[in-house]
Amino acid sequence: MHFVECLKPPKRDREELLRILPEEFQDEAHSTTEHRVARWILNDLLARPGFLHDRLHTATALGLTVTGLSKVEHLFARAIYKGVFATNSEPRWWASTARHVLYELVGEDASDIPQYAGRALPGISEMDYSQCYVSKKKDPPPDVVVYSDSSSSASLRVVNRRYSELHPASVAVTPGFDAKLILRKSRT
Amino acid sequence: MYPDLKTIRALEIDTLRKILQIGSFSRLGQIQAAAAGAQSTINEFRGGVNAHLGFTLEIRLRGDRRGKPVARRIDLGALVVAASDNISVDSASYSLLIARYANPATSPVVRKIHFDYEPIERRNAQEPKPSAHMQLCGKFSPHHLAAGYTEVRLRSLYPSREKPRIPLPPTSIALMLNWLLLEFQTDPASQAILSDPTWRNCVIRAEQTILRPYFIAGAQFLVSASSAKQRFLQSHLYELGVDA
Repeated sequence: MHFVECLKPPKRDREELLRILPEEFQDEAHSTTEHRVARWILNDLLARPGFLHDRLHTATALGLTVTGLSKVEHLFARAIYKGVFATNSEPRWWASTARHVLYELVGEDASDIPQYAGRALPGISEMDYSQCYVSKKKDPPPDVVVYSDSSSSASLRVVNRRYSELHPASVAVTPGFDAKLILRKSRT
Repeated sequence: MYPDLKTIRALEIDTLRKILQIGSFSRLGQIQAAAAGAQSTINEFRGGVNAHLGFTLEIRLRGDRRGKPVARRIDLGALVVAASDNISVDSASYSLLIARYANPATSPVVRKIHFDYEPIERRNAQEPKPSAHMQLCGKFSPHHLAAGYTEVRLRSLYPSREKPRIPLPPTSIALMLNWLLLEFQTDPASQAILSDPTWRNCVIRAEQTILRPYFIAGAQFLVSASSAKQRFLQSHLYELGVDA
């Protein structure tokens, strides 16, 4: 059995994970150590947005604040990551399943932009809408999570993508994962 | 109005490179493998472009059950033919196919369109057409057939009833992909790619290369005193010399 099965991925993500895995993990009888597999799961799959989203990224993808997400979180139980190293305190959601659940819940008349669709979820009020850190506006909804600066103590901010740029540490390409972004210096 | 062959080649090679460099593209099925294959077929110094990108995108269409996104096969083709001088473009055709499901061998074709460019000096004077235009359907390319599509899947779109041609700006791989991702943000990878600064710069370059000369030429025609008595569609977009 390939270790990808231990991640319990949705069908589409399973195929894509198998395609993007570092070469040393490609074979079923992989030529690597369990330690290296564990490190990839912890440092890449669980830590970097792409296949899985943490609470802030999931909320942002739904156009909501983290508090807003907590009101509808139970509806997305099917999307919660239940593979190895899953924890209740720091849950992750499969981005693809969360998107499917969203459109099941909001129906065919909802916006194709998930941030607007998410705001149509039951129990959500304007107070729960996410707000762009730079423009202080809720509409258009902010759609990316960026680092406030390039220091190791940087905070995460939710902004409209126009206020983001590539993080200077984002030099190597990692297939399957989103680019690391930082708050844009020039905001005109 | 349309860039030379060298500029188009450089643009498309750069776009294919960017697809390989942006990690989020890996989540669109086989697009990176296709981009790598297409890149190797373009000679940086000679000839045209014949690239085909097949990939999967989760798209929501009104007819889908409960409005849920469905993984659909998308085929994006670019065929730019070099003129005999190997400097200018003889013709350019960018095609888009959207299948109902992910498997091209078994899925009906939902949409098939292509965006063409044909310079006035290379086309049949007896058949007026906008130099840059969009047409519905049209035949499968060898790439489509190799991917597994069969002619029977196309019949409902009446492939031989391909007119009228609708005047539209010319396009490129980056412009087509960017448009698709904007249109179909139901796939989680779409917003990740749209937010990627590398992709943003790639699209800006394509817009400056392809769209800027098109719109500048159009704006100049409309404001120019010498063309004040001429009709935009006939004289500019169709490039018909005499506006009678």
